[in-house]
Amino acid sequence: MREKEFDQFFRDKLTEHSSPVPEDMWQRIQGKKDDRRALAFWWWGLGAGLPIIGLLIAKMLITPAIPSKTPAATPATSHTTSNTHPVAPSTTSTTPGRHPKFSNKNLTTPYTPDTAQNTPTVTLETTQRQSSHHPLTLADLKNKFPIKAPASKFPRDSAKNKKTLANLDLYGSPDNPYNAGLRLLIPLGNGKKFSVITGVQYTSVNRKVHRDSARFQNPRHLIEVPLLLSYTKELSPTKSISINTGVFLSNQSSLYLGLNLQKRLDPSWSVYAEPYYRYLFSRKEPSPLSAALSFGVRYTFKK
Amino acid sequence: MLQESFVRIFSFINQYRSEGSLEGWLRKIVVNCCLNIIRKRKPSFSEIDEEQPNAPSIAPQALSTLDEDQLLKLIAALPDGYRLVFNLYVLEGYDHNEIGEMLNITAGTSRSQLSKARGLLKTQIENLQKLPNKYA
Repeated sequence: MREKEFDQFFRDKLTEHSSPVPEDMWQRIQGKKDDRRALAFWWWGLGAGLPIIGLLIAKMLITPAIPSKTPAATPATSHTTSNTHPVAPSTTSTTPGRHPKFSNKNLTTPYTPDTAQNTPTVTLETTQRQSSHHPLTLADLKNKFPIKAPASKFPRDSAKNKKTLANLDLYGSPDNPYNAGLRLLIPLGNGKKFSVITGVQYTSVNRKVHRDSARFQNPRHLIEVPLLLSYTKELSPTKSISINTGVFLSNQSSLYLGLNLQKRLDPSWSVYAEPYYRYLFSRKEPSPLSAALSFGVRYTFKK
Repeated sequence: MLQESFVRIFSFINQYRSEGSLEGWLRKIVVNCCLNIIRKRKPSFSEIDEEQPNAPSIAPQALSTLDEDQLLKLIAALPDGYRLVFNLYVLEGYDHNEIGEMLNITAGTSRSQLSKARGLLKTQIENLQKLPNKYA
């Protein structure tokens, strides 16, 4: 018998051969498939979360510590410390505890009323040449010490002052930023892979401004409209992962890139977590790239 | 291997573009999946002579008495390298160059493995003819 005939014999006998499959094979396949999807789900999540966590840690390490100027530590009546200056209560100020110089509505100086004297005080950090132990009044500060470098941030001209102070909300480190909103996800076509996301979102960034002479709490409020394109991949009947990218439109628009991990609780309700990066279109923003985590619930409307 | 193959089939079913036969697509996945698993075992492909001078000649009548299960048992009894090449060449229809690429061996090694596999199978079939009740 030739080799070709030998091979052909095996081929004819076995090509169409079928073997019985173990009864529990389908359950084993299904279980393994679910395991893989779950693993992929967490790997994607870990992959997206680690850079963000790393960025946040790096930012914490890089951000210099803000020197604490505790007004309470200095008696309001004492003028012996050059960088602590008592300020009389303002009768023109509409907001208690707010210095008239910084009467911009977006700017709140951290004046702390002195409990002993009932006199608001503010810590003023002057430049080095002012570091003599000479007590200063506010008038002295204005007239005798024309601060050149800080003057660009605190000009005495009121109109310019307001404008400059309004820009100050872009400086400083964000403190407890948060946002909340509603999003509407509209599937494109029948594939349900691509969707458009829009809606409205409120964002608050309460920035700690610690420039020149004082520390401020300067909240920034934004109403944003997301315009995002989403690509979704189903990992299992209950889990999916999406990449969302696009812009957030507001008076300070930004680019957005997020990775959405969603788990369906029932046919209507899902929960999701979405680590994301945002890049702010602002030349004044010292750190335009930010990372954060959003989470929420999603309701799916039935057709 | 079957389980792993089906997991892959269901994972990548959306990549099937309905351009060729589904059976061919499934077969390709199963073969690749099996090869991946076998590669991890690192089967040995010992170099042997091209010709098998001692391989017995099998009469066609001797083969006709063998059923499918007996043939499968004979193939399963082959060493890994022989069995791999024999299955890929005879049953799956790959040529030696393709087998060489898939198993990371030379085409000559593939030929020699196939030749050795045939010789061993013929020897086993001959033995089987002498002991007909062994595999019955």
